[in-house]
Amino acid sequence: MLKELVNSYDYVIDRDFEDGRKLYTKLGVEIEYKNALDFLKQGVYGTYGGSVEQIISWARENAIETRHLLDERGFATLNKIHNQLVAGRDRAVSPTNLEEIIDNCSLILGIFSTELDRTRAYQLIRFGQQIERFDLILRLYGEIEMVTADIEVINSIARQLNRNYRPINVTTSDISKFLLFLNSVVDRVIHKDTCASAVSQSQS
Amino acid sequence: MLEPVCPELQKFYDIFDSVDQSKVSEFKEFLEANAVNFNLFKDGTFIERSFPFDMIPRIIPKAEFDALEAGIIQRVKALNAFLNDIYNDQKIVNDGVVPREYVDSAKAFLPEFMGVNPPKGVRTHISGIDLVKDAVSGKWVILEDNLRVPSGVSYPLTIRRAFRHTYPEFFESMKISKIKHYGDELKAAMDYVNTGGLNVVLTPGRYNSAYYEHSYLAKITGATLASGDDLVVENDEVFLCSYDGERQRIGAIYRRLDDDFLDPEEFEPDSLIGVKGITRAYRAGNVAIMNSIGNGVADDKGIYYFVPQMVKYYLDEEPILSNAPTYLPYYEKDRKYVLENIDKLVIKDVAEAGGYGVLFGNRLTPEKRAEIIEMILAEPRRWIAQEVIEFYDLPCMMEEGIVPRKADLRAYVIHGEKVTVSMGGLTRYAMEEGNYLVNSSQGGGFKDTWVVEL
Repeated sequence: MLKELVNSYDYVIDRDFEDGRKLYTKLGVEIEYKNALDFLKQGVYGTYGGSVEQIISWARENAIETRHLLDERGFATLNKIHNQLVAGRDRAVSPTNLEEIIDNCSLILGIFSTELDRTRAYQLIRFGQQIERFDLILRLYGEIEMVTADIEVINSIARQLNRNYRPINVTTSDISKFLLFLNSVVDRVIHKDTCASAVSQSQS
Repeated sequence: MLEPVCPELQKFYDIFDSVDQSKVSEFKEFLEANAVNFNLFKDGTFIERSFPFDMIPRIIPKAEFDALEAGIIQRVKALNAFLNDIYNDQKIVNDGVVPREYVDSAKAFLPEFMGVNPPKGVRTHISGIDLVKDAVSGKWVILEDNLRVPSGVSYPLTIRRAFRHTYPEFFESMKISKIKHYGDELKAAMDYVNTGGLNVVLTPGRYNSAYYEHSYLAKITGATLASGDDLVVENDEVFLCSYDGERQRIGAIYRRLDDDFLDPEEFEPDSLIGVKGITRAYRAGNVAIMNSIGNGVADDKGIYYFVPQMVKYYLDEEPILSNAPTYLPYYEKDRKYVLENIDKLVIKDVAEAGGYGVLFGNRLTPEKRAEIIEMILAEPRRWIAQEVIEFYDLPCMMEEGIVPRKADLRAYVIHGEKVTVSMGGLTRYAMEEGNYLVNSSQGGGFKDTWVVEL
């Protein structure tokens, strides 16, 4: 998404002022901006759900919760991005800032790919990456065919994460149904409240 | 008064002055990026904040620390023996060494756990012993024993790593005792009492002030970090429920929450952070809980008075380390002294911790003074009084330069197959000049502690 933001910024400068608005409309967000730099500012610090600052903040929260499983350099890099975003809230945003964040995110993923437990933690990261990638592609381009070839990748990772996982197939051409379906894949792998269900079973 | 500069500290200054000063910001950036936090709740609001730290470590010569180590080990052994006794035969009470009233009225004494014995007889798995160095006598004095959930050990471990990254010069030129084995020793202690299954660090969750530490300890011990809703008790055994629906038995739990919140079935029924039924598993001997349930009776501020007697009673040894001179208003003679000399004493409410409930007699208004006297007379067991110890200030690097600040030392002790003291500890300092309260929850900062051999 950061790359899309930088690409769109380039259009907003002098090619298509409405490009930024069109990009966010696909994500279900209405934004207003006065010029290209203001567009970047809205993208990073806008008050809608899903601004770059908010996404990084959520990522940091997740990283704090799972810190004991993460590589320290990966955590520190993410935390640094967050701290820089918070510190820069009152300043103008430049595409260079975003490119630095993109580089740092790539660094984090690189660190995770080499340092995390390959049977579980890293597979969970890969699983999340795939789901997010599908989600973004579908929202931006609206073509299920663009992801169907990779469904088997999701099935393969999911099987490693949960031996009881049942593989999925694409049976719909409706994007919104497919997005809902994609979220249900997560529930097939990660059982929420497993302890709560254990307690109710033992009490019944 | 500043502690005199020992040759080891002088060596630190010499090296520090000779290296590139821009390393200071590199060092600070390292800690900032690693979010070494001690969070606070202020006026009901969660404040995420970095734990303030100071670049200048406290330096303790090895020979001095060796004596401290022996005294601390002795003390923890006596306290463990006291807990085993008090939850069984209560010989020390029956023999009149500790008054029964002191045990029975201790808020953290749990008579319902009489006869419940933890695996291998260990109750004080992880202790934090707070000491200060008396500027008058030059001796170390014990201020407090923390036998429930002592926190803080992750901070010196993290800052040491930052030092080694940024300033290898110190470690090349000075013989600084290593502390990096703490994780291995803690794991060994967990394994020692483990009843079969996983080791778990049980955290109240993300918004606990010491969450950083819980996560850190899980990482360095290889234990699973879990919150209450990740665990379930079935047939008096504790299991971890993982995301794929599998369950794994747990053999040892390093819990980082107080007894009151540990089990809604046994203690606070509204606790959302505990594990229902965990005490049943503990009673059945199916899980080790570190530290044991009911330890608070031994670090009660009133019981503290009797620790030197415990050393003699259980170990038949003379105490190596002394308490701060303490008076118990419970005893008529002490009460008379306290009431006559209240202006010179520190008055402590035994039910409080973390620097709360500490009153300096010389700072009381006449009204507050009268109120405290009335409370002491009404509930003498609730209070202790101590002579004000003029403990040393340490040099701290602050914006205004190097300034003196009051500082204590928390020594960390692990009790597994044997009792070991981490060769360092957490030095906490007050942020304001002349302030005697150094507690983290009072906004204090921390330093690394180097045990150095010349």
